[in-house]
This record gives sequence, C-alpha cells and structure tokens, in this order.
Amino acid sequence: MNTKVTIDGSAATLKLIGRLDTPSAVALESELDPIKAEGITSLLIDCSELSYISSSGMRIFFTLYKHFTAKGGSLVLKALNEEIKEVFEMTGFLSIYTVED
Amino acid sequence: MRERRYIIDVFHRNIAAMLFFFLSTVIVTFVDSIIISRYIGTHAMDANGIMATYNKIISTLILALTTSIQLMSAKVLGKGQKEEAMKLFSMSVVFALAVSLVLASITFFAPYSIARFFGAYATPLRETVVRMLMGSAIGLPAMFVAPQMMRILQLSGNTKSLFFSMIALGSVNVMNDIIVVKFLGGDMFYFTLGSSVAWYVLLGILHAIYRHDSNKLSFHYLPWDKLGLVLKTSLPTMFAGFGEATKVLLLNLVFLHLSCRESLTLANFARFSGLYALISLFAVAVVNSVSVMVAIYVVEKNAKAINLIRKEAMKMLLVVMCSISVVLFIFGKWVVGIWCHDVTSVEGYSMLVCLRLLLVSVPVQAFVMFYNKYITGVGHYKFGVIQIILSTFVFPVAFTALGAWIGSFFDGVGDEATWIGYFVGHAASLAMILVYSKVGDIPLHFISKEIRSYQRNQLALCPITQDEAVETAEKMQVFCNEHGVSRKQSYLVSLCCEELCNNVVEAGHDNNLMIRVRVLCEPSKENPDKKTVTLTIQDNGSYFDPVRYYEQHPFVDRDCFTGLHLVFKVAHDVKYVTAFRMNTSIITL
Repeated sequence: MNTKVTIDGSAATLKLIGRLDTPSAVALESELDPIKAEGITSLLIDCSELSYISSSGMRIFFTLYKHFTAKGGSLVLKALNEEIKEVFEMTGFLSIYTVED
Repeated sequence: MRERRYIIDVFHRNIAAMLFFFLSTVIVTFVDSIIISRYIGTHAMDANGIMATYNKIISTLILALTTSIQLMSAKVLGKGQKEEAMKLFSMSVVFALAVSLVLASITFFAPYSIARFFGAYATPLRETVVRMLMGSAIGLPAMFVAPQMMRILQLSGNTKSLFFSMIALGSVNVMNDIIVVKFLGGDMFYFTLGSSVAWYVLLGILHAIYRHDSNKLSFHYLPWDKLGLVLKTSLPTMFAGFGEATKVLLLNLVFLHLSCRESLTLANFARFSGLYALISLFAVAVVNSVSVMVAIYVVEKNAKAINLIRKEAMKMLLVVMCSISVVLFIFGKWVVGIWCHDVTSVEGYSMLVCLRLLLVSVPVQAFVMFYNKYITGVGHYKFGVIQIILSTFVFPVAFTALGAWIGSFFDGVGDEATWIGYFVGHAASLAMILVYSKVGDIPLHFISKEIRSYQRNQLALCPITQDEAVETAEKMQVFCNEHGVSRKQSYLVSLCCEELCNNVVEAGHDNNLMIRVRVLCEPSKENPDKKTVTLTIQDNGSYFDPVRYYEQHPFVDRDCFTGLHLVFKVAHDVKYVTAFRMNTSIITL
C-alpha cells in the first residue's frame, strides 16, 4: 500500500492507495508521527483509492479519531468505496465518523 | 422444505452413482473370473495374483508421475497461470511416453528370455505368468500416456474430448485383456504389433480433436528445467506404491502356499481376509509415514500441508481397520462357513468378491465419511450413514447374488455370450465414470483436488506466514469475483479469511503449523441468482474456539474491537469444530 501525506497549516491530508491489510497497517502506524504532531488539529483521510481495509486498519482509523477529537479537532473520511462503507456500517463505526463523498 | 428437497436430490444422485459403481465392479470382476478360468486355465488365480504385484508397480509409476504433475500444476493454477499448467502437462505426455516405451520393452522381452533360461513354460503356472506379462507390455504406453492426456482434456474443460478420452482408456483395458486371454496362444507378435499401432492411432486422433478444439497444447515450449522437480515430487507416491506392491507380493505368496496345499477354501479365505486387512493397513501406514516424511523434505509447503492431513487421517484409518481385521480373523470362518465352496468355482469367486467389497468398503467408506465431516468440515452426517449401509452391505450383496445367478446361465453358454457380458461390464464402468463426473460430489480419481477445485466453484490454498495469509485473502476475493459472487460478498470473504488466518498464525504456537483455506461458491438455495459463499479454515495449531470467545466477549466497546468481532459482525454464520487435532472454522457469507 502507498500513502501520501500533505500538511497545510493545522490541517493534514492522508491519501491511502491500495489495500490496508495487517502488514500494511503496521507500516502505516510508523508513518503517522508527522500527522500526530502538535499543531495539527484536523485530518482528512482520502480513501478514493483505498480498495480494502482490515480490522487493523480500522483500529488505526479509530485511534486517529480519538486523537483528533481529544484535541478538539476533527477526522473526516473522504470517498469511501461501497464495500468499505458497508463494513464500517455493519461494525457500527460509520456513525462516529464524518464521511464526505 | 427447499433445504430438504435439495439434500434429497443430492442423495438420489449419489445413490445413482453408487449403483453404477457396484453394478459395474461386480459385473466386471465376475465376468473377468469366468474368462480367466475358461481361457487361461486352472492356474489363472495364482498367476493373476503374481501379476498383481507387477501391476501395482506399474500403476505406482503412472500414479507417481501424474501426482507430481498434478501437484505442480495445482500450484501454478492457484496463481492463475493456466498456460504454465498446460506446459507442464505437455511435458508429462512426452515423459510418460518415453518411460512407458522403455518399460514396455523390458516387460515384453525380459520374461520370455528368463523363462527360456530356466526352461520355458516348464509349468503351466510359469507359462501363464510369462504370457500375461508379455501381454501386459502391449497396453503399457497407452496406459502411461492416456491419463496425462485426460488431465489436459479435463483442464481444457472440453466435455466432448473428455468423453472420447474415457472411451480410449476403457478401450485400453478391453483390448489389453482381449490380447492377454484370447490371442497369446496364437500368433502373438502380429497381434501385439497391431494393437500398439491401434493405441497410438487412437490417442493421436484424440490429441488431434483436442488441438482442433482449443489449440492450447504445444510441445515446442516444454519446460525441461522442471524435470528434476517432477521426479522429486514423485518420490512420496513411489514409496507408497512400492510398499503396496510388496504387500501384494507377500500376500500372494501366502495364497500360493495355501493353494499348493489344496486348502484354499472359502472358509480359509475368510479367515485369511482378516490377516490380509491387518497386514495391508500396517504396510500402508508404515509406507505412508515414510512418504509423508519424504514429502515434508522434498516438496514445498502446499504438499507439506496436504501430507500432514493425510498423516492424521492414516492414524485414524489404521485404528478402524485393525479393529475390523481382528473381528474378521476371529469370526470369519463362522460368518461364511455355511457356503464352504472352493474359491475357484463360480459361486465361490462371487462370494469372494462380496467379501472383498465388504472388507474394503466398510472401513474405507466410514473413514471417508468421518474425514469429510470432521476434517474437511463438509458432508451430511445422516445421509453419510445411509450411504454406508447401502454401499457396503446392500448393494454388494445384492449385486453379487445377481452376478452368481447370471453366472449360472453363463456356465453352459458359448464364447459369444461371455464376450458380450465382458463388453457390457466395461461399458458399465465407463458409464459409471461419466455419471461420477456429472454428479460432481464424487471426485474423479485422476485429477487433483486443487485443479478440480479451481475449475469448478472452489479454491483451496495453504498459507503459513502472515504475509501469505494476506495474499491468500486477496486471492480468495479475486476468485469469488470471478465466480459470480457480488463485490461486497467477495470483499467480506477476503476480510474473514485474513482475520482468521492471522489469528491462527499469531496464536498457533506450533513449528509444524498448517493452515488450509477453502472457499466454496454455490448458488443460494433461497435465491439461485445469488451466491452462498462458505469459507473453511483448518489448522493444526492451538485450540481456540472463536464462537465461545465471542459469546464470552461480545462486541460492546469500540476500544476492544478485534478482527474476530469483525468476522462475527459481517458473517452470516460461524461454526467451529475440532477433531483429530484439526481445528476447523466454517464461515457462511
């Protein structure tokens, strides 16, 4: 899986490309430090090219959600594909995230 | 109601296949015995026994070659490289032809030379054996090549060609037998030459039909570099086959001894059957263990996983067979004492057929049922029991009685009637194979599970590491998509596969950890337009019941979210079975 991080002031964008499976989730975790930095209060995760997410990936999303809401910021998921959206819905996670098309 | 109708339908189709199987087996064996006793002579039984050893060795070589090709093809097919599999099969045809020609030459010329050296045809038994061996050389090339070509045809999915190939194989048996029993006493050389030419013409036509239809087989790009690997993967099967041949040789020596003392009555045979079964199983178990060890060291991990299952299965089979053998050894004489015929008589031979079916079918059928139920996690238990009763007691006994009744008519009838019966028997065999291939639930023995799986509606893979588990999950998703399963369902299959396999890898705690994942896509019973997907994950790791765990730790807090919770959220049904140290999770989506 490939990732692209862009930071614009207090807002960060994380673009995920490919499959976010267990090994990819481990790799992603180590790339999150710049996003979790002091001044950043909101995060947009661009999922337009994300084809798959496992429970490990979902746990990372939830950890980030807790991180930003604790700061009084926000986490937005953008362009989730139908399958991923459905899994989030089945597991009850969809209701807690802000989702953009 | 629909569920019931569906099961009954499957059951009826199985019964039809079994009827064909037992009818054809009994008829063929029965008519064979008539032909042997009529045309070869009183030593036919002994000669046939001696020949059985040789036949076992030959069939082992054929099986070893085809198994190794299957194994390698299954691996490349699993990666979706059908073209590569075709290359392997192409090579196997050439290789099989070369091996068979060498063996046929040895088989044809060696027995005659040896017999002449020791005083040819000094005894009727020796004469019969020599003639049988020389006759068997004729069909060897075709026997080697035909199975390889059948696999190619099977892989191509060309039903018409498959039908022709089965006709060809059946014809190989029929013509070979005709030569052995009818013509060896006459001008043998011309018949053998003519028959060999006929075989190649037949196979050539078959090949031409295939090439015309699909044009996928080509000999000019054979991967000769894989020849070494083919030989290595053949080793386990060779071990098992040569062990089997040794067993047959030893047992036939005992039979010969009994025969010489004129004490081979049916009652003696019944007692001996118990011993036979016991020796058989010990020999097979020992040889199989060796073959498993060889497999582990020489074959890559897919074969390792498959052989570990076989190892477990063999232990179970050994226990069942030993118990039956002891009972038969003690009570065998009493069981059949009321008949007391000589085994060389028609009635005696019929009874012998019946006994063999009972001895072999009962434990093997039982074993297969338990294996399917508990190791692979599929199969209907109740119907399995009914099948066993029918297939092991009712059908064999009924058909053997029928055979004996028909035989009483054949006694006073001429050659023509016997030959008609002979051809009808073989035709029934062919029909049986065709019915089996249509039924679908019963595997064709000449094609590997993996290849068959890939062709139809299921795929089986064996991941070992976490990376492989992830790769397997991705392949399962692609496979489901390609087999008409919706995108969403395919996605969920991948998800469940990854989560459960990861759990096994992380918590398996076993150096010899084995995982086998199988996905089966079937039309839904409620709505045939939709698909029901069954994901089966087997492992030999630590016991861990996900169903019980989920009941004790239901998903109430997002902080405690795990892969297992995800599986239970998205799956329609999750079952967990542990038997024979194999854990099986069955997930329906």
